[in-house]
Amino acid sequence: MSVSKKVSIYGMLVAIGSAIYVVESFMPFPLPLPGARWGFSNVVLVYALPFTNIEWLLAVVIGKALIGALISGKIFTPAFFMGISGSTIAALTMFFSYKTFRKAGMIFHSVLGALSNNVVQVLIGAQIVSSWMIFGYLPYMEILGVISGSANGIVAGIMLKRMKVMR
Amino acid sequence: MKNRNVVTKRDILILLVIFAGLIGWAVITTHSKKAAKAVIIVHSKVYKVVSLNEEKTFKINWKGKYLMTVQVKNGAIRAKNSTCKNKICVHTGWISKDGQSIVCVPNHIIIYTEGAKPASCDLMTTQ
Repeated sequence: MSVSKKVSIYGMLVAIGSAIYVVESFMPFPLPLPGARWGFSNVVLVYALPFTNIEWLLAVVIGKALIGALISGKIFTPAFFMGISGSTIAALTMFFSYKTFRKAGMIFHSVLGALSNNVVQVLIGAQIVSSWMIFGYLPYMEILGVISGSANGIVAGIMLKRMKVMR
Repeated sequence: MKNRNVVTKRDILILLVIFAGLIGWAVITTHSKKAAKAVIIVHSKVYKVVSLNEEKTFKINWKGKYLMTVQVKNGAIRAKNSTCKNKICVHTGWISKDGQSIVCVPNHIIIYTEGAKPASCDLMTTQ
């Protein structure tokens, strides 16, 4: 794949990701935790897994978080830092799990990413409010993470099956 | 593209195990005992320790600035009103069980409950 083609494809992924990021902020989240969200914008990361390498994946993560936060006006708030650190870890986890577990389906990688995302988000949140009490929310966040992670995995897997992936 | 599955049977099995474990974890953390007192932390310092047996409403001020109104009633505590933007602390509602917390990130306030047993005799006698 030539560099210009790569730039256009990953640019499109960033655009879709930040659009979902903004639309997602209108969705109600059942937990009273600042910065916690469904994380449906990470579907572009799952979609990119089969043809990406790690630098481009991290570029998508950072571009998505920066542009999405700029549009929704959340940039440099605690929620922004929790989101960007969470999705960075999610991207790394999904990348290595995709490389390691070759028999597992997309949904498995996606859920693994969502779980690690939530753990790191809570860790960063605990640093921000300098209290470990926030860990009481972790089990509920993980349950919702499994739900949104499965949704992401199914959507991205079906999209990968139906659409021609450019390589 | 290499042919990868979307969902395999093994995936569903793993997901179910994870899900069951998480629900068990959540159930265990919620079914804990009633708390006796609440600790209010503002800007990483202990601002006040209130007993949940009394009934009162008070304001939290930090460096002369009004931040939050806290209400204690029937062994539970809540943030009645707050100056923060999205009011997550107010929407948390009443908390009464041991180990629960109300967190207000914009105002740097944490309210958490503590168990029935006092940490030391001094704490008990001063209340």
